[in-house]
Amino acid sequence: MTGRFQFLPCFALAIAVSWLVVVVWPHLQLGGLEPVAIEETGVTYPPIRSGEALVGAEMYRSLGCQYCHTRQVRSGTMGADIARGWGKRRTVARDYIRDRPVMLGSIRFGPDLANLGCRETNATVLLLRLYKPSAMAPLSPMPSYRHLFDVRPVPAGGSESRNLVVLRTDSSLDPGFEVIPSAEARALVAYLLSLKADELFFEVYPRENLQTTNFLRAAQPQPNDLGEVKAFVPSWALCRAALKGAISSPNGEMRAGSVAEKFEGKSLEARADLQFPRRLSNILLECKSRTLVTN
Amino acid sequence: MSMETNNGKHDKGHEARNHEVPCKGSACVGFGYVSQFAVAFLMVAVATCWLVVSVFMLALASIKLVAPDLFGASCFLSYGRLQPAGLNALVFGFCVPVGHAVVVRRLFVCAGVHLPRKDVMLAAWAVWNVGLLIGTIGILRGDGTGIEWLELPWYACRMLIVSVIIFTVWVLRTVWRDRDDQKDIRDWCYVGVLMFPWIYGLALFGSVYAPVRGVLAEITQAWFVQMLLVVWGGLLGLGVLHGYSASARAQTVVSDPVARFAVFTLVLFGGVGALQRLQGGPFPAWMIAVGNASAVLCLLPFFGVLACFRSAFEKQRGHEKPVGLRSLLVGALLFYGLALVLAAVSCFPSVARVVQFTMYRQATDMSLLVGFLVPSLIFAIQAIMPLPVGQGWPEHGLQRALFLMVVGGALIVAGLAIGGVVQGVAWNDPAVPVADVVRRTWKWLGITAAGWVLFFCGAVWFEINVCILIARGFRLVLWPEVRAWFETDVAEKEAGA
Repeated sequence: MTGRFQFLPCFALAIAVSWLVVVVWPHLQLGGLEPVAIEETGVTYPPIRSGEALVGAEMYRSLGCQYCHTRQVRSGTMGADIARGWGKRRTVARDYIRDRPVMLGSIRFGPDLANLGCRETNATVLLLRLYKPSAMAPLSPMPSYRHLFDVRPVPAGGSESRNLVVLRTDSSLDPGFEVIPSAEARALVAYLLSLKADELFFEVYPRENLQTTNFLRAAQPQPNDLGEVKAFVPSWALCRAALKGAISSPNGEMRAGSVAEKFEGKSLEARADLQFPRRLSNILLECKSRTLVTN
Repeated sequence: MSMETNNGKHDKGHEARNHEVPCKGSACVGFGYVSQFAVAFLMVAVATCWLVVSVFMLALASIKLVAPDLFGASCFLSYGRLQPAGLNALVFGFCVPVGHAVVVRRLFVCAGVHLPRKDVMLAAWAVWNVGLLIGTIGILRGDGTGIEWLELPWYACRMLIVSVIIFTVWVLRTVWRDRDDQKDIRDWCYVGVLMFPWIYGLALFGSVYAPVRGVLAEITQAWFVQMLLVVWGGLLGLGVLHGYSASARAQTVVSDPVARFAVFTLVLFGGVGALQRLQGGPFPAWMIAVGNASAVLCLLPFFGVLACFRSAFEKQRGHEKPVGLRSLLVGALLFYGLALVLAAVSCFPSVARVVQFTMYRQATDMSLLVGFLVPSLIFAIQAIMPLPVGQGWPEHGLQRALFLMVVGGALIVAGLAIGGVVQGVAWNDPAVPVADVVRRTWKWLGITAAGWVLFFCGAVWFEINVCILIARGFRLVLWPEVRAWFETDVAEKEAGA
């Protein structure tokens, strides 16, 4: 092989290496993620979205919302996302396993939406934001999505439509007219309300809860809160090992999970402890919040 | 006259290539020379129209960020549709066709290889353009995939991928016959450009056709963008610029260890550096660490490139050259370096904390796209288009157009980079309300919009130059050649039958 073609295999190899490292290897690590059962709440996370919310996801994609809003919360050390109230914890890969396509977004011209459903529970407010963003934030760069709404005359008799949600938000609107959100607008809002990434499971121990075991000691004097913890006393050593692994690893949450997986082949008693780190996380969070309240 | 290379060998072909004239084969005589050019010419002529259309959409999208209700509440003209439509039109309508036209011209015309069945190649590119048109309209209608830089709907992607595969297989099949043992760095770059179907195909497969689960699609998308801008665009742009510097000093560009090192480390680290784009996202720490390391190591090939260009510029002293174009060349190189430096700087945790999820990332991408790649391709066009029509450019008009585009590009990158830092600082202060964040970013968005408007003016001016060139040369040169080309193809078929 002479001339230009002597470089073809080299280019092919270089591109293959980057493909393997960047795409295939992560796929081996993250491709097998499955929904996780949260024992305390009895739900499977991430939940399956309703049909209306799935239609709304299509609207979200179609309108290009992801070009101005992200859906990923950084940890406290990497930014002020949690301090701004955009989430209780950083988002992890498992949060998105039901999303196709996943629309994480890369720029924030507006607030992060990963937990919009937790922050805002009022559909009317979101509809108003879609209809006339400047009414709620005067300098907002968000465009109006009026094409998702029907402006129609108030029906004869003066009674308002049954589906009326947005009423005379536009000062330029004639008194005899009303604004009705279309099915697409309702679906989009249903999707926005379904955006919740606040469930706690073993991958997402808030790092501050893992920094020191002193916190556990501080929680000890509260017998009511620790009643459930005492039930796990036999596996306390296992728990500490898992937590230590998590603390020493730059990717602590993943390590904690892998520590738990190591006990797959153990005895029944040990297997019963497999759920331990996950449950402990929730208990610790609960203890901490109560401790803070007490303090 | 032969020319001595660095290896001490005499190579007659190099001289001809550097003067951009055919040197051997049937292309040297008769209509073949111009008809070989005609393929590249037609591809470029359509691409320049896409340049104007795409930049118009991007300028409009940028204005919409400052004045969101400027053209009413039309869903077709919302930022979320205009921006991806414009970006895809710019990449797939202008950059990719012109890139491949450069390869065609370089590998066939300059090397003197006869290009068989040009109609197949032109048909492939016609399908490409039709697919892109359908796809762009699809994005504006809301059929985009939602995956950044890969928004073209699947029904349009099929046409694009089939077209580019036919084209590339045809090129490779033809080039395979050329046994010219050359080691010009441009040829490495251009062979690298032919990797596009593989890159695009893998990205489409992993994110659109059979999308991988969850965030893995985001990883595939990051890989594609990085390969497109840093590696594919880098190879193409550097090849073009290197070619220009070689032509200006009428000497061959012979590979040396530095150039070899630069090209291959660029491909390797440039690709893996995609993981750096995932900073701050829901990804394991090792990915970000590997991405950051690669992004920093990407500076090494750039230093190698700079060394090559420095030597080229030193040898240029005493040669007559257009000052404006040379400034543009230096400017394009600076934009490429700036993009790599911006990416490397954002690897540091303290910087990353500020610039993640801000316009800063767009600044890096736009520095590569409108600061480096588009001007580089304009270089290529200014060499490709005049030859088949037998007319020179309206020189001042062209340089003004290029000047406007460079100034526009600088404003775009500056607005996005500085605005990104301002935006990041504001987002990271929980005491700053969202409205204040928007207010602080406002003027930088305005500067970016002004940059896009200037860039659009430059693109229009450039298109006017292209039209003047075509109008001047069409009746005199091109039309008889095109007729001769078709007639000869028919005659060849009849003879074969």
